[in-house]
Amino acid sequence: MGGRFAAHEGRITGAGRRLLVLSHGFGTDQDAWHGIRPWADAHFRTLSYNLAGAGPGGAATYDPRRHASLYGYVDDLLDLLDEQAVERCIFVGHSVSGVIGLAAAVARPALFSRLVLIGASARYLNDGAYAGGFDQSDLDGLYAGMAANYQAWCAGFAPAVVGVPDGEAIADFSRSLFAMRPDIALATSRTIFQSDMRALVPRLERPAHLIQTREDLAVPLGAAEWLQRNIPDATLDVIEARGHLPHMTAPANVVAVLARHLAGTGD
Amino acid sequence: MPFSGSDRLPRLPQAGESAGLGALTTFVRTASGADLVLAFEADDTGFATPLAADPPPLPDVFGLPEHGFDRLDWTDSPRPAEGLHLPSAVLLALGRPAERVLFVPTPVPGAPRSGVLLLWAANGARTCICPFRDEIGHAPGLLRQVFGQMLASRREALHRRLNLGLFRDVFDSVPAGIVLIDGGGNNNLVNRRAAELLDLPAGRVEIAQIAARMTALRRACTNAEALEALYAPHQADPNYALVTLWQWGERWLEVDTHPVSGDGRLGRVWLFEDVTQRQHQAADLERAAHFDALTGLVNRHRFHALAAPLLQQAAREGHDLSLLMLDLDHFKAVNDRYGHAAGDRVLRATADRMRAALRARDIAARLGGEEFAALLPGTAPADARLIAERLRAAIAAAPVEVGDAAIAVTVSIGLAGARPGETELAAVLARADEALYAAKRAGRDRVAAAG
Repeated sequence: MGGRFAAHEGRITGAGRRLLVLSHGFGTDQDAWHGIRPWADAHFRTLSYNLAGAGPGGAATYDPRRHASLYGYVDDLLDLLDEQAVERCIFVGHSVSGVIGLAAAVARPALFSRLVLIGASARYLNDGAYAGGFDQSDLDGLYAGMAANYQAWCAGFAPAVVGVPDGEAIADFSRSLFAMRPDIALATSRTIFQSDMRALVPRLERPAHLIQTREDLAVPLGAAEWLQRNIPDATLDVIEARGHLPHMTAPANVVAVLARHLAGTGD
Repeated sequence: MPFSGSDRLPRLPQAGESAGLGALTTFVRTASGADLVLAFEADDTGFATPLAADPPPLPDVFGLPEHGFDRLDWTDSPRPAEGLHLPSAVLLALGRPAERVLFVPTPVPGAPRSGVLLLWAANGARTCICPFRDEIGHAPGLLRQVFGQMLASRREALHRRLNLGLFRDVFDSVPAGIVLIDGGGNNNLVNRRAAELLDLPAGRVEIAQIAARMTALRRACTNAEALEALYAPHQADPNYALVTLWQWGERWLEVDTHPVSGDGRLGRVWLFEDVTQRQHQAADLERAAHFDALTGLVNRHRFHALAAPLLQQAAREGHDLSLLMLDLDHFKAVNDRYGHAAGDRVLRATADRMRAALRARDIAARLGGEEFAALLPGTAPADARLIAERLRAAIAAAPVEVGDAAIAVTVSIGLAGARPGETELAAVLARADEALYAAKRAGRDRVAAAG
């Protein structure tokens, strides 16, 4: 698989001095950034790519063994940045890509100056006092639904995750969700929802900016607050938007936070 | 869809060899001053499974980078971590940014990209007494040998365990009892089925216990004496092989014993197979071959087989022998009027009345349809005539009750005696048959003797 950047359909746009890496979340692909990109391109060189299993080439980039844990995705990101000879970047990750970026930054701090995590969660399963938002039975139901009839499951899941009656966003999210091979979608969702990256969180040595909406089916506010408390240097912006995909449904609100945290920084 | 726990790949069970690998890993870390030492197995695709790590815990499985560090030449000494594309699972296990790395390739069959990674973290080396910290450049050769040896033996042991596991699986799941007596006598194995049969624990069992239970089982058999006689001659022979049938009550066991690979010094195998069903089936087949299913009397084929030698014996020894042929009168009318089920009832009743009227030594047969025969050994035609009359009377004595109907039954009988020295059964049968027709012509329900 020579050329990870090519295999993951990497795109670089914009002509800024600093590099901004945009990494999308589960069920979407890099097109999810189209509301953010104009602003990003005006200020940065913007690098986006498709996660393993996502986008048109998803079936070719996904390896069931390599991607059985989130570290496989972390390795993809690091390989891709190394391949592009990236020395330093600002990383913006949505949902699962938030913790993928966080793990990458713990592993290779020198590569990252700061991180922005949108709707990220260190663990989705409730665990004692930790409220991830899901019980195992909820997740088992979700997997069973996906396995039984992927198309029907997508039709129900998409609007619930989007969380607002935004026809265009729902259509976009449904499209990218449908585009995933159902077996890959199921395996990926298991890897994500069963993950527990909490041990890595306090080891992040870079500033992180968390963006969270008031109402997110996938991530309760408590999980975002847990991240803020446990990352040594973190801000949390709870924006006036609803749903799990604010970069798609309320890009202006997300850009406002990005501009505030990234525009003036010297990194 | 049942799903539990994390969705990670199953790890191979931690074996004793891994404990040794762990100890070696710890020693190497202490001696070299490395911040992390990780031994892993990796296949040719670069998919790696960590086996031992110091400090623990073991990292997750990972993929070696495409242009992997394992492809480099590591004969010199540690390299800067920069640009080695170390897997994140390894970097995260280290806990701090890596500064220097040493890789010791230890290719083993089936896992050509295996090896041991030594990592030194940036910002602050561990303070330690590290005997070969400065000599680490000379160590790879030595490490390669030791780790390579360990990895290879671990893999072998794993395969042995897998094979043993497979053997155990087969050993316990075959539908036969197996007892393996070890040549040394110390490692005797009893599988689950044999354990149930012999009332022993499954697994390793003392030889004395096995011998005692086997003997007890054999002595409880209905054919214990015969078995004793079969086994007794072999007591002193370590290489004997024998297949016997053990029977107790309704159960049959086929017991096969033979030396391992033909050499009793290596051990002995006992196989116990429950052949009860087989024996019953054989008995059923025999019954089907010899007896008429409807009436239980011997069939035509069997009647010939029994009668022929008796006739020859009578000819040889000068005994009398008589033969009766019987045919139910107007039987077709019974079938037509009352149906075949009623006809069958009449045939069964006829057979019962024949059995009751004949003597123990006589042989009654159903030759087919409504045709019967009886062989009367040691009986002269004059006596046979009396017996035949008794038989005719017994059959005609009472109607056969079928539902509300009472069906009158009569029989015509032809009688023939064997002539002195006569050995052709067919000839005797033919004369009896002729006599039978004479009885029919004379008005049925009577006995006619051949001239």
